[in-house]
Amino acid sequence: MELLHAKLDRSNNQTPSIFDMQTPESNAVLIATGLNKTFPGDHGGLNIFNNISIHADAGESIAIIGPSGAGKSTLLSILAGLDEPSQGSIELLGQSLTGLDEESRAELRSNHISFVFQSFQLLPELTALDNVQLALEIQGHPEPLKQAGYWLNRVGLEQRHQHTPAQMSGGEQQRVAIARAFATEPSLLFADEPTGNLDDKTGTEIIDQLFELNQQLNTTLILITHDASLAQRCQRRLQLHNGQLLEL
Amino acid sequence: MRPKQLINLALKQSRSDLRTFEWRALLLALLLATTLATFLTLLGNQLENGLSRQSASVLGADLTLSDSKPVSQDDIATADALKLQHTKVVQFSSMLSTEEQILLSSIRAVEAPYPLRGELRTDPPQSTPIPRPGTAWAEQQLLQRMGVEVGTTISLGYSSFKITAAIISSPDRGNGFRSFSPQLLINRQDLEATRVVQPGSRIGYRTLFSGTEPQIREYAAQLSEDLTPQQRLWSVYADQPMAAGALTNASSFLRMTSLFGLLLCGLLITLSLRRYSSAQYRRSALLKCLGLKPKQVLHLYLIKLIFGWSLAAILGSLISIILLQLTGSLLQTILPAGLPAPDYRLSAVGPLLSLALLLVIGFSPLLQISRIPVMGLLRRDQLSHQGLSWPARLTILLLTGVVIAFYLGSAINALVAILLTVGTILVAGVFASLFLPPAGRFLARYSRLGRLLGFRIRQQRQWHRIQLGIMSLLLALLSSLLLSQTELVNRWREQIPQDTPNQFVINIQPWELEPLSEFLQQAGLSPNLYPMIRGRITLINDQLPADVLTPEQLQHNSLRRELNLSWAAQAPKHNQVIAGKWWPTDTPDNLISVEQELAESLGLKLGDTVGFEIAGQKLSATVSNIRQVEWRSFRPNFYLIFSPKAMEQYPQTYITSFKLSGEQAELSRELLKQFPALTLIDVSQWIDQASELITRLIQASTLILGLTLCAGLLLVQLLLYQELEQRRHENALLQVLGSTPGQTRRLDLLEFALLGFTSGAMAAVLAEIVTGLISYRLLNLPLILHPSIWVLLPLTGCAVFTLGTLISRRRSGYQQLRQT
Repeated sequence: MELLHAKLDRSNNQTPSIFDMQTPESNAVLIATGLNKTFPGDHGGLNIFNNISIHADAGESIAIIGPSGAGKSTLLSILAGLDEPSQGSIELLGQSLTGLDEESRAELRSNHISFVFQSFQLLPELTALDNVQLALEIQGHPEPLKQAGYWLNRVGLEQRHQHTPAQMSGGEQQRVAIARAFATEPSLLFADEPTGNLDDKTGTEIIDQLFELNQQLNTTLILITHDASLAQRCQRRLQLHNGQLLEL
Repeated sequence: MRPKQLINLALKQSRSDLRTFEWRALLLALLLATTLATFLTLLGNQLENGLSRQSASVLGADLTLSDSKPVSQDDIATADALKLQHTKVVQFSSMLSTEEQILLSSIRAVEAPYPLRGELRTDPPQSTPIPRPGTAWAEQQLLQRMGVEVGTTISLGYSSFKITAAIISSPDRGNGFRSFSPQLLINRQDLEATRVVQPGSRIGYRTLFSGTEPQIREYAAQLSEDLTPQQRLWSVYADQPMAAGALTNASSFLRMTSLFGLLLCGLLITLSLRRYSSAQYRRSALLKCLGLKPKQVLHLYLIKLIFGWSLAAILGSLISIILLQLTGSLLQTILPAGLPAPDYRLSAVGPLLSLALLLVIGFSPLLQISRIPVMGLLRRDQLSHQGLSWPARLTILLLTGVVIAFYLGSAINALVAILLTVGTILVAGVFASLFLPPAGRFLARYSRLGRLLGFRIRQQRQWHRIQLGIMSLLLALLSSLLLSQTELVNRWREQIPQDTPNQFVINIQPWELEPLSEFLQQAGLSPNLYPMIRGRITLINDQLPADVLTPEQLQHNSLRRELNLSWAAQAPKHNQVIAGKWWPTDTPDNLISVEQELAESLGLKLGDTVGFEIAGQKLSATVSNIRQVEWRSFRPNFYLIFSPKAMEQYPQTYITSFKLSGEQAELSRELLKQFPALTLIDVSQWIDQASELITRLIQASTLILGLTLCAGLLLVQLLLYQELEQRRHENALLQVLGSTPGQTRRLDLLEFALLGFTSGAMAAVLAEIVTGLISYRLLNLPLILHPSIWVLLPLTGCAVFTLGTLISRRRSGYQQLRQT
């Protein structure tokens, strides 16, 4: 439990940044308004979506579903500040992302956002422990090794600390990715088809773990999936269809 | 992320990257570049120092001033001011006598310290550097000819000297004919008492100087300004007898090899970095996704490259020092003075060069890595390689050129190398686009997957152009190296042909000609005998040289000393008349034949008149022809040869040379017994040394060629690896769709055999051009074609590519698809 307090202690050890300042009276983590994305092209460009707005509160779990090619991943990348919308604005923890430079976005990701990918995205040369530790080191955590070990134990990989991704199963690799994502204690976690590369049983175990941590840590979870049963487990379900986002 | 953590991460990644082909290739490229550059720099420095020291040990000093009168106090004061060490030598010819024998000898009266460079070796070894007063050291030849031994007392003028040691080897034997006579070394304190040095005596005064190179150069420059016609300067930095030709050729070859080696390493670094950076895009995107800033990503990869470079620098320096020890032991014995240690500070040259190449070539890919969008983790198309803009490519090329030019000390060589590289790739592109499609259609008839071959050739034409260009260049460079090395070997061998004379006989009087010829013929020798007399050039076209020549021309040695002149009815066999005609045997005119270099230096043309002073008499002759002389032939050669009529009234002596084998040593003793007035000079030891030097240098250069070959093979592997990676996935798909592994293999083999053949054919053309340039520009050899490479290179290209294809096919189609 001592380690769980690290997030609170961290602010004492680090230089304050613009992203440490959450508005106390508001519970909103993410507010996206009037998002529009068009890729430039010969005939007026390709419009992916229009006038999309999303509001996500702390601890909320939201599924974005839709058929392949609907623009789910594009929306995720814009919400996470990896890409710029053609129009619209995004506020994260009360701060606008518009006009932020690459350095500030990197700081934002490091301190408040985590990702879980379909293809795990672990560094193959690092052990499970090193992979988790790396994210903490980038964040500037005072005790990255201890914290990384704690989180690997928490996802049930006590015996796998020193294994590299190649020595682990898909499910185990995704658990490492989840440990890495939660270890930095993010406000917002984006998961892009997190069970897409796993069998049903393993997928279910992974999702159970994801929701459990989402609840325990009050982390906002935005999940991209085309799996209706998985989407059902989220508090809110948004469908991206024909460039519009509909709340189901 | 703190710097320490960044360094730790870089270290961890560098270590794990050792498992990847591209990181290993990059490290090997850096290692080869470092090793090549360090080894060549140190070896060059060692050879240069060794040969300078060799020359110094011949001279006994770094600089020698010879004169017909004692050195002036002003010159000594200047030398003192420059903190040069100096010593004086007096040398003259005089008769030595015992009760039974008399002998004309060359006497050297010396003072300590002596010699300033090299070693005076005696038997038995002596505790003093020079003979004690009242004693003398004699050369073996002198003892033999006088029939005396160490311990005997001999007379010189009014003094007697006890011979306390035999001289085994000695530097500073002087120059000209005095150096050919057997020598006796005495203490200068004894000179006056001998009373042999009287006004009017023909005495040679030498002052020896030693110091650092800048001091010597400065002093030599100062002395050169006021040299009298009787004075002559010998410097180790300007005069390198014997080994000069070999050194020039060796330096040319080393420079050429290093240029090719560095080009290959430059290509290797470029390609391996390109592959490495492409492989790092996903990792970079992930690190940025985790919050690493672009600047930190750039720093991370810079640290990794510096790690890699440090490893290559340390290993490369160590390997080059080990190689140097190997070559050192090869070359140690060939120079009497031994090979000095190189200036190890120059070990930094290789690492610095590879660092410069790495930063120049690597900065752009690193920048691309750091700028890769994080979006690439969600959309793979965002991770694709961004090609460099043309201005960026040109800048990299230019900077690489500057780095190489800086290393070679020659902007022209670097420019030629870069133009050759770019030109080759462009030509290969044009050739590929013209040749490959019809060749592909032709080969398609022999494969069920023929249409696919045509499609591949069309689809991959951009890549084929680059690949063909690089492969052609590589094969051309390697074959050029092999060819030029062979030519260099031949050139060196030609320099000292089998029948090179090793014995010179001088002071042959006209009445001895007939019996001597008879004696030599009985011994199975029939050498030419050349008349010889000494004379000085006094007029050119009836004017004083100072009035018609430039100050630079006036510095030419031929105007500052007496020349050995000869005369002949027919042109010497080993000389080639390159302008004008040789005179008729019975020409009544005073004609001269001038050596080519002398004619060029003094601006002499056919029809010019040259005035001489010979034995106190004036003589004028017209330039009738100009000859090319092979000075390194070890045969008597002359700057100037007169028509016989011009010289008939002058006293004549003759010179000849011939080769004696080891078993014929008795013959030289018999010769001296029958003709005691002759002077026989045995140069076989010098020739053996030169011959060994050449052989050892060739062995040393083979090591360099080996390193270059390593770079070449690594480059081939890198190219094939890259190409086959692309093919594997395509083949896996084809097999899933129903093709047999045999069919896809045949398709690969056809494609790569075609590429190999085309590269080989283009390499043959290029190799001819490159070797032609090397022969013509560097080695001054006539241009020749090499038909063997026209067959061998296309076949080698085919073999290398097809073998590489066969070796690289390890995984099945299903395995490949699953991995993808």
